[in-house]
Amino acid sequence: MASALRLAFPFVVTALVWQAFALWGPFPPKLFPGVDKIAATFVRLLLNGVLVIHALGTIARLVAGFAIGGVLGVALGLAMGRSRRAEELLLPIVSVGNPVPGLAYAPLFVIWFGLGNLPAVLLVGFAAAFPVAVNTWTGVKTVKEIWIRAARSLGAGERQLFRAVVLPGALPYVLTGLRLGLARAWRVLIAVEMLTSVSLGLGWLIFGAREFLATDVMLAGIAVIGIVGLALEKLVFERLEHYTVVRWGMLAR
Amino acid sequence: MKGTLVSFGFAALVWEAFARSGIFPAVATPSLLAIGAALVAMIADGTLFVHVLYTLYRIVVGLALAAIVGVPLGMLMGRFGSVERFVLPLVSVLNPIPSLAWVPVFIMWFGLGNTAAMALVFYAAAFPLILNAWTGMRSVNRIWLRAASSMGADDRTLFLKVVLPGALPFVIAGLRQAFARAWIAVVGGEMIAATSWGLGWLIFDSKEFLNTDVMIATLVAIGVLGLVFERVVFQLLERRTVGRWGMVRMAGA
Amino acid sequence: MRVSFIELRHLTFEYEAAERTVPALRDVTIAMAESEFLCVVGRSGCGKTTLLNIVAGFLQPTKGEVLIGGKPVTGRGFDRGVVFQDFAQLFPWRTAQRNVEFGLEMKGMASAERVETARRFLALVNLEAFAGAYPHELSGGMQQRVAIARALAYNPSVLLMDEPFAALDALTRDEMQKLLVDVWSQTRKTVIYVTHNVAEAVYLADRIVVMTPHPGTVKADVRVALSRPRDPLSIAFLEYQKEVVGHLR
Repeated sequence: MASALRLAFPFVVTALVWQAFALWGPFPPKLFPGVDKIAATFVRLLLNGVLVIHALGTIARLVAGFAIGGVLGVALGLAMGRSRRAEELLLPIVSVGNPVPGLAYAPLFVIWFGLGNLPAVLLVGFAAAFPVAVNTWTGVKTVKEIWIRAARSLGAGERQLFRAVVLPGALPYVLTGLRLGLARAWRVLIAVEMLTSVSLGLGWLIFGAREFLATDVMLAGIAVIGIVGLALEKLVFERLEHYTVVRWGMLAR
Repeated sequence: MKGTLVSFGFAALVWEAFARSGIFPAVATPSLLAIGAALVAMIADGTLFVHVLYTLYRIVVGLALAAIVGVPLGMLMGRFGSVERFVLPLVSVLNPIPSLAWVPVFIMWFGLGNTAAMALVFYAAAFPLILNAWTGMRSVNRIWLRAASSMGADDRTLFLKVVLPGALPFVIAGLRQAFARAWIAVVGGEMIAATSWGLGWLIFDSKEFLNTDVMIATLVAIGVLGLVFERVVFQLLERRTVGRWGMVRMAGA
Repeated sequence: MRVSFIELRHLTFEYEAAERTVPALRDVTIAMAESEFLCVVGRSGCGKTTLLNIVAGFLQPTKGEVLIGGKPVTGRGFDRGVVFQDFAQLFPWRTAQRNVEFGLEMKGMASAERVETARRFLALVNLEAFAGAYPHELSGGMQQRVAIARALAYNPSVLLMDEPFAALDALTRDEMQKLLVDVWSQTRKTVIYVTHNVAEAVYLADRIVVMTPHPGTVKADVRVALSRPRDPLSIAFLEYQKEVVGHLR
C-alpha cells in the first residue's frame, strides 16, 4: 500500500501543479484545461467509445505496418547477411536510409498513394524495415564468424549451416531489430496519422481536435497514447528484452 | 568506397527504372536528372542552405535547452534517491509518447512556427538525456571515488574531476539518442506545425505544388545531413574522449 | 613509553546483516613505528580489508580510533595513500602521468612542479617511458605500478595496500614485490599491507600481524628479523613461514 502511494506521489504533485497553472496561468481554460476537465473528457470519450475506436484503428495500423516492415526487414537482412553481393549492393543504402526520419517520406507516399490508410500502413512498414534489416544483417554476420567454423569442421553443408546454426544464432539480433522496428513504427504512426488524414486513429483524433480548439480532447488522446505506449513497453518490449537477454546474456549490445 | 558507389549506382538504376515505368504518373516519380537538377538549383541559389540553417538552428536550441535541463536532472536522480523516486515514474510514463503526438497541443499553446518546433525538439531530446545521465551517474565506479577522496578530493572536486568524466560514455550515448529524436521531431514538427523555412517545411510545401523533384532532393539532403552528424560529429566526439580512454569499445561501421 | 607513529586503538567494527549484528572486528590494537613495513595476514573474512578501510578513512569504526602522528583520522585527507587490488582504480580518462599528478593537484601544487614530481615517481616504478599512455593501454602489472606511484607522489604519511598483486600472474607478482621493497627502501614510507599470501608477507614485512576471523582479532604478532633482499628459499625464510602458518591454523 505504501509503495503504491509513493508511486502515485509524483503524479499527484504534477496534477496539482498543472491545476494551479490552469487556474492562474496565462492560458485561457479552452487552451489549458484543468485536470478535472481533462479527466471528465477522458471518461466521456471512453464511455461513448470514441477513444476505443480510435485506439483500435491505430493499433490495427501498427500491427499491419509492422508485419510488413518486419517481414521485409528480416528478408532483407538475411539476404544481405547471406550473400556478399546483396550486402555490397544494399547495405550502404540501408545504412544511409536508417537515420532518415520515416516521417520525411510521408508527403511522398501521399502523392503516390493518396490519403488514408494505405500510405499510413506502407509508411510505417517502410520506416520499421530499416532497423529490422540492419540488426538482422548484424546477427547473421556475427554468427557466421563464430560458429560456422565449428559447424563446418563437424561436416555441416551450406543449407544445414544456415538452418541449424545461422538462423538460431542470429535470432537474438533479429529480436532486437524487431523491438527497435516496433518502437520506430509506433513513433512514426502517430505523426503519420496526422499527416495522411486517416479516418480513425489517435493521431487523427488529436490533430482533428485542433479545428474545435478542443485541447481537452487532445490531452485525453495523448493520455490514451501514453497508456498504449506504456502497455507496449511493459507487455511487448520488456518481455522481448527479458527473453533475449536471458537467452544470450552478453552477446548482442 | 567502391562498394558504396556500386550500391548507389544500383539504387539509382532501380529508381530510374521505377520512375520511367509509369506505375505512377510522371509528375509523381521524377527522373534522377530532375532530382539532381532540383538539388543543384537549390544549392546554387542558396535556398537549401537557408532551410538547413533554420532546421539546424531549431535542433541546436532545443537540444541545448534539453541538455541544460536534462543532464543535471539525470545527475541529480543518480545522486539523490528522493529525486529519482519522484522523477523516474514521470519520465517512464511520458517517454513512450511519441514527441510528435504533442504537436497539436503545442500549436495550441505556442501557435504555429518556431517556438512550437523548438519546444518539440526540447521534449524529444530531454528524455534520452535524462535517462542516460542518470545511468551514467550510477555507473561511476566506486573505487575511483574512494581513490580520489583518499588523495584529498572534496565533494566539488570529486564531482568535477571524477564523476563527470566517469559518466561521460553514457552522456555521449544520450546525446546521440537525443540528436536522433530531435531530428525526427524537428522534421515532423516543421511539416505539421507549418513553420516557415526548414527542411520539413520544404518537403511539405513541395507536396502542395507536386514538386516531387524538390521533395526527393530534400530527402536526400536530410539523409546526407543525418549521416554527416552521426559519422562525423558523434563518432569524432566519441573517439576523442571515451574511445581514447578505452571506456567504450568503438564499433565498426 | 615511545609515542608510536600510527596507533590503532581498540578498533571494533560491527555491521547490520539480516537479523543480527555481525562483529567484523573486535578490539584490534596495533602500534606502529615510522617507516615500519607491516603485513596483516589472515584468511578471507578475518576482517583485514575492513581494518584497512578503517585506517584509510572509508569506514567509521563502531568503537576505538586510529591515530596517525598523534592525530585522529578523519574521512578524507592527504596523509594516507591507498592502493587497491582492482586495476580499475586508475582513472581511465587520464594518462599515467596525469593519474599520478592527481594527489598533487589536490594539494594545490603548481603545474610545473607537479609534472616534475609525477615524472620522478613514475621513474621510481620504472614507467617513465609510459607516462603518456592511458590505463587501458597498459598491462595489469604496469597499472598497479602507476597506482603505487600515484599513492606515493603526494607524500602521505602511510601507504595502505590491499592485496595489490593478488590479481597478477606469479612471475609479475615476484617482480612487483621486489620493486615494492626497492621503492620502500628509497622512500622509507610506513606501510600497512594486507594479504592472504604468507610467503609474500614474509618477503616484504618487518612485522606480520596474524588475524583470525569471526570476529576479526589479532592472534599473533611476529617480527621478521631478516635482512633484505630476502631469499625465499633460505631456511630462515621457511622457518618464519612455518611459524606464521602455524598461527593461522
